[in-house]
Amino acid sequence: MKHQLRPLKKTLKSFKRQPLLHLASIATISVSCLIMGAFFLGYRNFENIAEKTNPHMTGTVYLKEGLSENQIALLRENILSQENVLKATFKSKRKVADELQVFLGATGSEVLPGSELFPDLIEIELNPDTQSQEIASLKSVLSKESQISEVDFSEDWLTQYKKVRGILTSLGWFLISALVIGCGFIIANFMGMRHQARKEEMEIVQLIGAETSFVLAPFLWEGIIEGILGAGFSITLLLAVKWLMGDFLANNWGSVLGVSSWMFLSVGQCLLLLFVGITMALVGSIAVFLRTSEQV
Amino acid sequence: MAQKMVHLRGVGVRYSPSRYALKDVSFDLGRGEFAYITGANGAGKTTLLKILFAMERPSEGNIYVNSRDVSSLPKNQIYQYRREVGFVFQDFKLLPDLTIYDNVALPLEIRKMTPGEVDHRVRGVLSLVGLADRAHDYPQMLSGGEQQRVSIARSIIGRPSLLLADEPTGNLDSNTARDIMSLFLEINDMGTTVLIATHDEGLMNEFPARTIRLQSGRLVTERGLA
Repeated sequence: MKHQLRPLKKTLKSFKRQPLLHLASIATISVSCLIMGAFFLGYRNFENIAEKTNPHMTGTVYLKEGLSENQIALLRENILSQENVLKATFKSKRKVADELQVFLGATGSEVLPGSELFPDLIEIELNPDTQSQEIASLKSVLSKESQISEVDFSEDWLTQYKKVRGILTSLGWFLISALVIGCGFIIANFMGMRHQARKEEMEIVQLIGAETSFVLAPFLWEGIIEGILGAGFSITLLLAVKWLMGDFLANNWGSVLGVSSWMFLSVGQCLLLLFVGITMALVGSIAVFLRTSEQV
Repeated sequence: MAQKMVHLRGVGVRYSPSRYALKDVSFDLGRGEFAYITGANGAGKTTLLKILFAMERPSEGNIYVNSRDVSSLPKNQIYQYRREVGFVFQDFKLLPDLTIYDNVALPLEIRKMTPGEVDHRVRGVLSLVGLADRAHDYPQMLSGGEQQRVSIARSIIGRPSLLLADEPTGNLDSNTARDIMSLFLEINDMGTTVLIATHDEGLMNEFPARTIRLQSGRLVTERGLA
């Protein structure tokens, strides 16, 4: 057991002996994980807000004036029979005006000016996987109906949303790759400095018959510990920021964005941050490992 | 060659076509023999010990230690070979963060021996070098002679068949140097082949043994052949 714990003991000793070099590595990992965590946090909340403001793919069919209840029911049946349509809800002009009044914060007794000009409408909810071409085709079919004056789908919004989502995803992967490689090299330099400081010790151990793995195992342990500490610190900091910003969001942005609190990182994202933190540090350790292996 | 611990034939170490550290050195060392390598500074004593310990490779010639071809030893087998050969350095090369006990135990830890066996051997070797009561001190708390004893204890704890020592008394006063030489003889009496590089003629006269003399990288004379 003593043999297995020796690299870990040596690692802890190294933390005591060269605290500044270790702190520099941990700080580098922390800052990188913080940038990445902030990005994940922004992405997750963007998705949340997008979900809240437009949870489904919807469309609105504006009806012509003077349709009978029977005609409206038949039209609704027709719309429901179309492909990808999940739901079709009729709303009278009176109901639309009432909802708008509530949204604008007016009291029930007031009459919204111009509300008599609103048309009756049917709100449509589509399958979330509906493609743009299918929406265009549906729009074309419905527009030909004589009782319908206009068809409006949220496809523009959806296209924008999908575009932003795609950009954010690509940006996320780019950020992760760049940070892992960049920080790996920075950490490799810090580890290289520690390696120089312990060069004599490593030489002595090799001269008495130690394998390369025995000499370098502490560096791998250092990588793991620094990665966990760095990523853990950044997650804690993000949690603190989220906690401090919670009230500010609720008071100032809640009604506008339709959310009352920030969402924090998912367990998966926290684990990914830990993984990335450890990977960054291990990239540094392995760089030192390879450099040293050449010298031995 | 079965009875030979060390077998060198035509060994040379060249740094450039005109510059060499050793040239055409040949000699044998029997099992359990005690011998000196001597010569002035720059004669090639340390280089000779380094190639015997696989710290350097010869440019030419053959070296066999305990029937193992050291001159062409693959890199990934060097650590294994070094476990069979002890080396005592002039500057002791002790780890300052480890206690005397831990410094001496290190070669056994590397071999992944059980704590019980490590403890048994460390106590035995520390008694042999007369430092049993200093086991929990750190190297910087010891005198030069004591540190060299620790270094010797570390080099023999793995029970090597060959012990190499590079100017082991170079940093010590004459009385301490005598004690250290007596210790080497004691180790030799236990069956270990000992090869010491030194230029201390006084000590060599006081503890006579076979002497291999180098001059400008060449073996010039041998005295007291076994």
